[in-house]
Amino acid sequence: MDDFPYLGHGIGLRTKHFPRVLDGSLAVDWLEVISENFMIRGGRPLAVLEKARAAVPVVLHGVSLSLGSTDPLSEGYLRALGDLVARFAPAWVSDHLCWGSVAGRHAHDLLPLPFTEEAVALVAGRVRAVQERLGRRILVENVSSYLTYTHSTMTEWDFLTAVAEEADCGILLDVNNVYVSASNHGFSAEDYLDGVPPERVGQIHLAGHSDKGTHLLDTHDGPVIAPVWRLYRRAVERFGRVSTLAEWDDRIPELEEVVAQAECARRIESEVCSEVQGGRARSA
Amino acid sequence: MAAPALRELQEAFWRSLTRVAATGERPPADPALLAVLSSPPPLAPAERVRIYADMYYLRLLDVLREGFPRVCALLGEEAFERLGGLYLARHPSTDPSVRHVGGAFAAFLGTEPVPAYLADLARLEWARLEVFDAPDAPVLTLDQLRAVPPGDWPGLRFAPVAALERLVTAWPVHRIWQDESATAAAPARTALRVWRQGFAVYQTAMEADEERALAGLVTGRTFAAVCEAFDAPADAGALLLRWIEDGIIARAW
Repeated sequence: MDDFPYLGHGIGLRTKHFPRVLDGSLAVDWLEVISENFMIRGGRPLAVLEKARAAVPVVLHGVSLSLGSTDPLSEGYLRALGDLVARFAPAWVSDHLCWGSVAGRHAHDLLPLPFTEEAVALVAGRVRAVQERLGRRILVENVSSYLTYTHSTMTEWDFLTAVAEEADCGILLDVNNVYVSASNHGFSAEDYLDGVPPERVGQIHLAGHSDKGTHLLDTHDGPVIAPVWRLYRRAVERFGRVSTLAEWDDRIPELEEVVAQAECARRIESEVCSEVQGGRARSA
Repeated sequence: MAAPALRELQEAFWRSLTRVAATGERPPADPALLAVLSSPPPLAPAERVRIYADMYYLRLLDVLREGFPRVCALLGEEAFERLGGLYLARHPSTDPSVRHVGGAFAAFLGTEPVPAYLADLARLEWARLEVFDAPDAPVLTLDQLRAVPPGDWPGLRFAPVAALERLVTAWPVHRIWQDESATAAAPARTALRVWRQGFAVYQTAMEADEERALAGLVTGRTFAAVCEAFDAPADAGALLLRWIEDGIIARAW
């Protein structure tokens, strides 16, 4: 999608690595930051973001837009997000296909929606409202989940696709979340990827998770595991070159270890794309 | 059973996440939520809801722990988790940014049977957080002050920078903040100023004359009026230089 240009392979910028931005030693294609962490009035985080933005493209990734909430969209939040967009000119803005607030109270979590027509209509309407407000299309990300509802009437990937089509927004496909939810709910991660329209996918997320024995938990506290790398390879085969980002949010290691995740993604993408080109050359 | 409307579902989900305000106890998952959950093995619906309820508290307790590290250390982990849970049950987050979730924690501690200095210590830690991300603003420089003709000094007015907080506590919490063993200190009225210079947050206790002078400055009194807080005019000049060095005042002319 033209609104979501290919940026290469980036990482999520976290506080631990702020010094590496300030001393100019952070070398990645692009950075994603959590929007809410910069909805502040001044100080170090905003200075770091200024410096980062001067060096590489930056993307704003929200966790509290609460697109699936039955509360009204927060005017204060939209204003703060608009201010950030105006100040930092992000390559794009994204948030999650979930809800996180009700009756004015915020869970600060990514809570699951039922996959129903009611929810499609609600979320798509709110995505459209946000897009009109920001004057640009946004990306909506699939979340990891630990429960499903008996009154869902469609698969998660049909739900994600329906919202994206009805709102005319892009999809931020979190490959790790697909893997986690597929494992937790017993569906096929490959079927999920096959059900997502390639023309809507503007970004891919990769992260680590934890195996709790009874379920997988989306903890972002370790490296991407081999089966998720295999799923990413399949995603690149289906979606082609898509801006890809490695997230690491807990027990955060040195910067080089996080960047290594992005570089691993780059190698896989390069292998897949050269295979595709080789195949085309042979068939020509 | 008819499927619940999304609003009802979200309210039932919320009731299942949050604890009982009176006791801080974890409630059972809401029946209206459990009724519409799939239950493939190995987890029962209530166990699936529990995953979310646990994450909700762990995440917000982490935010409190980061915002109030000294209070947390002095309470000990077990008491901190119990009080944090009770606090969150009574003061759920009402802002999309999690940054604000601890805004009522100091007042809450003041109502709990904990050592009396902890509420004041929490106020100091909250002031440090407020200063950390307060608006950036130009500060008064010595060169700007030197450019003012001496005859104009008495009428000068200054403004505090946004990244300055003043608080009066009943305990010398700046000492407890620096050294946890100072909790043995006796209560003593303490005037503090907390400010940011560059990216670093600082704090210091103020003597009575500095407290009065800074209060006068903040309310827009002239330099001549501010000087009245001091017995010797030289003391006022020295203090003005210190405020400039600390970067806590701006031009108001």
